Amino acid sequence: MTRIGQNPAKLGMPAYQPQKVGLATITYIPSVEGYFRDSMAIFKLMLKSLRQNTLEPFDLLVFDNGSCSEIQDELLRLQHQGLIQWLNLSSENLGKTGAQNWIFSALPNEWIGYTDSDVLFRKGWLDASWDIIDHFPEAGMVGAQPCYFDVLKGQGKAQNELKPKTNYLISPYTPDEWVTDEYCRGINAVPEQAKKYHAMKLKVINTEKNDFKAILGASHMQFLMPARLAKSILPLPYRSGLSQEEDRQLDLRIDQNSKLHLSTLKPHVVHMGNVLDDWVTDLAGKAGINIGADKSVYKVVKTSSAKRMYGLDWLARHAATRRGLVRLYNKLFQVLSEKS
Amino acid sequence: MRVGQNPAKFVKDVKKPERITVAVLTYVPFMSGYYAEMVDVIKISLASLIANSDLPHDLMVFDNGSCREMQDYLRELQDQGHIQYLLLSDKNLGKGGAWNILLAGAPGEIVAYTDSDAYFYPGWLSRSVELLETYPRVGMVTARPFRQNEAGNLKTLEWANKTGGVKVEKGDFIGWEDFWGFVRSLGNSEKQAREWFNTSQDTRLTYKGVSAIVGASHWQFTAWKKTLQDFLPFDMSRPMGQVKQLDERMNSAGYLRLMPTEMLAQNMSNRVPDEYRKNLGKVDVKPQRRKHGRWLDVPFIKNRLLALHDRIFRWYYD
Repeated sequence: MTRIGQNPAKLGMPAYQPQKVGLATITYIPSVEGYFRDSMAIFKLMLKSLRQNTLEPFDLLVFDNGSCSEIQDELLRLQHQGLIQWLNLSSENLGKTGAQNWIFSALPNEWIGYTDSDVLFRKGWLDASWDIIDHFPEAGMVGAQPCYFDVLKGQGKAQNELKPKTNYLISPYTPDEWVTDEYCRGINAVPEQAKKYHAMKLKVINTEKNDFKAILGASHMQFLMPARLAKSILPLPYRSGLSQEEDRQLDLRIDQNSKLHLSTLKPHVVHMGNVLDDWVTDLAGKAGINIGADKSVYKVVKTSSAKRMYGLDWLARHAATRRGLVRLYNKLFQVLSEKS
Repeated sequence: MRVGQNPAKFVKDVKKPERITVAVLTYVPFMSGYYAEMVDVIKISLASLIANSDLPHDLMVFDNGSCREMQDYLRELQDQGHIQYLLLSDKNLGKGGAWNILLAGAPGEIVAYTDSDAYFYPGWLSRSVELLETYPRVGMVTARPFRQNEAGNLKTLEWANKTGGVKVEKGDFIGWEDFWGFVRSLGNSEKQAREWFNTSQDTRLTYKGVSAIVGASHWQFTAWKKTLQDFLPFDMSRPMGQVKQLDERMNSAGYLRLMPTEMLAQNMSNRVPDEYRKNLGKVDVKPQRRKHGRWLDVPFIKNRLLALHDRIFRWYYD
């Protein structure tokens, strides 16, 4: 057991230095059926738009939260193509917050950007985020899409601390109609919900000096924050796969650090959802990604096909069976997403 | 657009990390020259960790940009359920850079780090944790004794000499075989080793009935995560060489550096040692059992269940 020779890695070769910005996303695609049928295609669109429309170098970390083997293999292929710097394959689903605990503590970059894996990036999204950061030193969490919710319901400590300052003005703001339409489409809002969103007045803050505006509030879907702040609020308590209450803890801790949630007036990113439909194809085209030109890239890997089950189709129409079948759906999900 | 509800919203209890994260760093850029046998060395190292880590833990492996063969083996181990977190870097970040991610990201309260060329014997983890929990303000515990210069452990000696209830003994507590076994792995000659062995001594401490040898090293250590956080991030400008600072900085900051009195880990370096070579054919570790049994591995059953799952989704959400 003798060391033979000298480890070439010790010969003074320079090591890779992380970029200023580290972006991270979480994938969780336990099967390529049902809700997750188009998830890989959507993820690839997210990746392509991020690579194509981010105008400065960045590192990308993908935290895979226990996806099925087909998806993990595909992620590895994407890493081998140089599209992903760090790929963390977790054998279990730690939930969104559990994965974020890992991401925020481990990313070595000065700025951390988080995005859900179903977000489309438009050119200039990062510049628009930097603009907000440059104008508001109190910025903690900065989103590149107008946020329709003030998760702190006007009671944020950071917002209250701004009130005595005379160099900022806070006023109501109504986004352009197309902006709200696009937002509603992304979340598949029913007409009554869409009506509510259109009637909403958001709060905008502007600097008195040069009249720069940002919306008060930022979404958990996509944001940029200083790594120092992200590390200071850990660990975030977690228990569930996805939970608004756990997301709220992130907001509260940022606010307790007297840091603001801010977002852009125009949507530089869009929520695509889980289905690669004509609307998403059109959005991608406008963002400079022509899906039609290379459909194979977005092809979804399938291990089995859903065949028609005529007897069950008939049964499923009855309200009485719905509850049982939905329960079965959730149970099947648990069993099928279990890994060896 | 979003269609249906993400089933992840119905997952009410996700897995929590174990209290201990065993963290391993691998790097095999190609399988020739210095690295000709490294994949085999790593297979033996990981098999020993899987077999001989005697406390509940998560195994986290950071691969620093290795060749496909190495990455494929690590994936295989993860598929078998032995690696909980496999982090693959597309570039070599250097050891310090990898530590910045691996040690910062390790979710356990206790982190047991090792280079990928160490062999572990039964009991190494529980004994390391015992020292960590028994002694106060422990910085790092290395799972085998080896002789070290006192200069790197002055704060440990200072604590021992001034603290009531600590028995301090000087002498030859590491036998020649164990001493030579480690020194040889670093490439030293037997003549050099004899000279050093004959002109130096070990310091053994006993505190609350638990004995330890003074010293520790960055190639393998068990530490409290919160302690490690005080020393992160490391200088990342070169692939190797910076990590020795951890030893010096731990000592300067007054943390204890300890080793068990018995040999529970061995450095293999970059060649498979003769005594382990015979085990090479046996390192393929067995897959862990599924919670729901192996019936889900039968394609016919799995495909039918997937189809049913998909059909219910279409009925109600599509």
